Amino acid sequence: MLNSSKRGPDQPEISGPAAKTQRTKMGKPEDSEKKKKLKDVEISVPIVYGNAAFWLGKKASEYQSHKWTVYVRGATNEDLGVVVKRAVFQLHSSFNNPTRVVESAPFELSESGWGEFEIAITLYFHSDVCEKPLNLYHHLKLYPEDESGPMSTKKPVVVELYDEIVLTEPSESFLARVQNHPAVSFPRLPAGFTLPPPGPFEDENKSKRGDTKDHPLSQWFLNFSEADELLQLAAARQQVQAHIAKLRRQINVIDGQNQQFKPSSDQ
Amino acid sequence: MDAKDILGLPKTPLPITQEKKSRPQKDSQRKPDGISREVYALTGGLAPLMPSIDVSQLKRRPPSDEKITWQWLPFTSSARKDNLQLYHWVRVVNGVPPTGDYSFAKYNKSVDVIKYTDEEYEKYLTDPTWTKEETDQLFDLCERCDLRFIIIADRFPTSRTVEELKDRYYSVSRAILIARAPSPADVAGHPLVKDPYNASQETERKRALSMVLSQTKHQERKDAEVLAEAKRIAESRMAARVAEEPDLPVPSDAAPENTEKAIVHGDTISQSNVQVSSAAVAPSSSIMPDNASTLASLRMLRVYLRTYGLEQMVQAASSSAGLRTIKRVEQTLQDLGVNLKPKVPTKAVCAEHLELRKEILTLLNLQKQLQYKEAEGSSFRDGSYGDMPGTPKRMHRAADQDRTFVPDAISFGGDRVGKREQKRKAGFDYLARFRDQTHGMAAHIMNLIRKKSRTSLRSSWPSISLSLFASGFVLGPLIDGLHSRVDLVVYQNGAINIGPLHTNIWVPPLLGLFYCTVGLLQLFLDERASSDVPQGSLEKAAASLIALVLFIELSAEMYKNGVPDNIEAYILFAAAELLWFTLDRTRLGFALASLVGICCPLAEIPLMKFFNLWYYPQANVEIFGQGLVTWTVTCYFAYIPFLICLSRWLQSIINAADTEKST
Repeated sequence: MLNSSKRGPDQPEISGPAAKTQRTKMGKPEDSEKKKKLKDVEISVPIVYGNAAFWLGKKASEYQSHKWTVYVRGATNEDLGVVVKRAVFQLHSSFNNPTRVVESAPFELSESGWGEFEIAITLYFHSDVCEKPLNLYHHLKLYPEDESGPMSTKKPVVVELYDEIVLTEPSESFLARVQNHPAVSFPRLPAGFTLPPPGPFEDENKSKRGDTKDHPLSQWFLNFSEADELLQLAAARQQVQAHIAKLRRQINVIDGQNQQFKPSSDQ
Repeated sequence: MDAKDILGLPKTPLPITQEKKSRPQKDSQRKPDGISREVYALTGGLAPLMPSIDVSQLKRRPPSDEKITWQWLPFTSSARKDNLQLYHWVRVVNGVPPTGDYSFAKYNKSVDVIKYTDEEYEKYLTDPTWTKEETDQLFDLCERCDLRFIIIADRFPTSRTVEELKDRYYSVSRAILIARAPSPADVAGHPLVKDPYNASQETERKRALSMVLSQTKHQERKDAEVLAEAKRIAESRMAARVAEEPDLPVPSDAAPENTEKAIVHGDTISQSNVQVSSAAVAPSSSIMPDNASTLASLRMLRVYLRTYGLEQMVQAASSSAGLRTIKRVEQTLQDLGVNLKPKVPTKAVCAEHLELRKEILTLLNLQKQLQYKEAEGSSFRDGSYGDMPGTPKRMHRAADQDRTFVPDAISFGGDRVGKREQKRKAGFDYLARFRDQTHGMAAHIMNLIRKKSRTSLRSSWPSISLSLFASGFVLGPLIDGLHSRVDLVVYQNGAINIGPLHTNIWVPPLLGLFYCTVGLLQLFLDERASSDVPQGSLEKAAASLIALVLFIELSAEMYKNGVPDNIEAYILFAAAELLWFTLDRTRLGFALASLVGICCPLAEIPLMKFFNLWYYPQANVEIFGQGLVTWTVTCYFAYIPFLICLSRWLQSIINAADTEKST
């Protein structure tokens, strides 16, 4: 009677409400273990994407006035390669080969030019993370906000945006792989659920480091702290709630008065 | 009738007689005698098939020839098998106790539990999982407990589930029935034979029920999401493929098995659908009106950006609100110092942001509700004037509104209002007296003005009018004293001298009335004004007062020093314009000032002519037989900016005092 009878043979026994969350795809039995997804679990990967642009100063020509780098990095400068397989930056058509592919972390692209345009960044994930790519759009900024100030070659114009990649229904193998990785904010698993231990960390011995902690541009990176925003929101909510309570009291008062006056008007 | 003749149709006698017959029947059913129509309607109205009340019994009294006593007598009940002797109160009529069985004995029903013999057991009823002993015990318990299986299961010596017991009982009964029946066809209609008991199905059903009952809120929510999503998918599939799609199980029952099936279907469909479009762009689905379905659709995306997710949730939450409300929400967010799109959109921040938006929506709804309630309240109070008070500042006043000036209006009760009535009576007396006493154009004009203010300020402010009157009563004669000091105007009937001030006893009330009328008129115009009205302030009122005093003093000095009238008139005209320009500068103010400047001197004419209250020694124009000084027009003109500022300031004070009182 239950669909759970279609489960593969070597899956752990889980009882209680967690059993409901296990869904098997109607695929081949050998894929069933890899593709087992958890519906209650959501993984989020905080990222920061943006650009840094240096004015070339004396060396600037009409068509090459700035040297800029567009990038996608982990919010705490951790290695995104554990989640992202490759990043494709789609530049303005006036560039040679406007489709630039970056196969490994750090996912960044440097170029020189004179114009500001929208760059479409497509992130492709590893197969156990997600089959679909994710699109980000960033408007390249070269010129500073206040045009009156002098442009300096030492200080770049930096625009960064914070966002989070939300992965619903992560597969168990992915969860196992990123259990302790700092780039990924790991959620609380449903009660009674245990993960198999992570496999060997493949990237340990790679020559190129994927994280951006010592990146040449790291001194310009902005810090994003949710504490300020939370504080702001909490204060605003308090105010609004106080207003609401006051209005409710007023409405009650008027209701009472209306009751009193209603029967006496003879229309 | 002629047509029927031509057509050769018979004139139909039959239906008519039928109608006649049916009508008297209905009539007798319609209103039974003995009770009123309403009471009869309470019982369910016309003609049930079996009348539930015996109408003839309703008004019957017990016949007086019977003698009724109540006695404590023993009785027997056929339901009891033991010899227990019980007693109860019995209604004895004329010494004869009632006969018959105990009236409740007929309710002692019991179940016919089938009794089988040992041979029958050997032949039909053996079962590997049940011994004969157990079966006998079961049947014995069934009979004793009237087939209440929960109790039977509890008392059963060996532990068996309710389903097992039921299964055994029903299968035994069924087997016996079939065995004892002469032919199978006879008992084929018996419910036991037709629908045999299915133990496994029962177990399943109960398990499902208990799961549904024990769902946590989390589960409920997720189920709702899934159901909404499944419904959506089912509908889109129906729309897409009209052909013989095997129906998705209708997710109306919450049985988990069904939802599991639906989810699996939904997964495969949405996978193929969504892989076509890119993740960050919204798939073809339109804005989800429901929060749960938004969550479900986000989940279907597999990967999305937090900011995108927040946008979707915000849209879903404010889908019920109009564009203007959304703008107001955003304005409120900005006022509170919150970014419209959070700079650091983590999960917690996004959740808080969403909650804040929802709370702001609630706040706006409550504000609207408050407005409606206050409008309701005011419309209850002020009968014939049905429209809502327009400006927001009136909202505060609504709580302690009072009626309008009309002294002969309907009075309503309530002690709160009574006290204010008394306070107003004093003011009203003056007003009433002067309404009677002033006639002619002045009265007409003033009535017009007052009526106007009455209709508009119906929900209005006698306190404002009172304060205006009071200030006119006091300030007016003082300012007027500047003119009488130089003998511009000389008072006659009723003249009094208070120290150096030469005035008239009618002057304070008249000027009070003047202040009051003009002030209220100005406030009425303020209310109807389309553009912003400047707030009343003490500084402006004081400044305008000083300006007015200087003007009047200037005019008095020029008069005293014998400046020719026309030159004085030119100067004063210019000065009055300047006054208006610096203090008011609105077209409406100018119009009001001009109106008053023309009407009030004319209004003085009756006071001079008929009452001889005063006269102008050096009049330079004659109107209606009375001498006037032309440049008094400018004095009245110059009065208006001051009255405008004064009335606005008084209104703001009184509003502030009232909001303090009411909150």
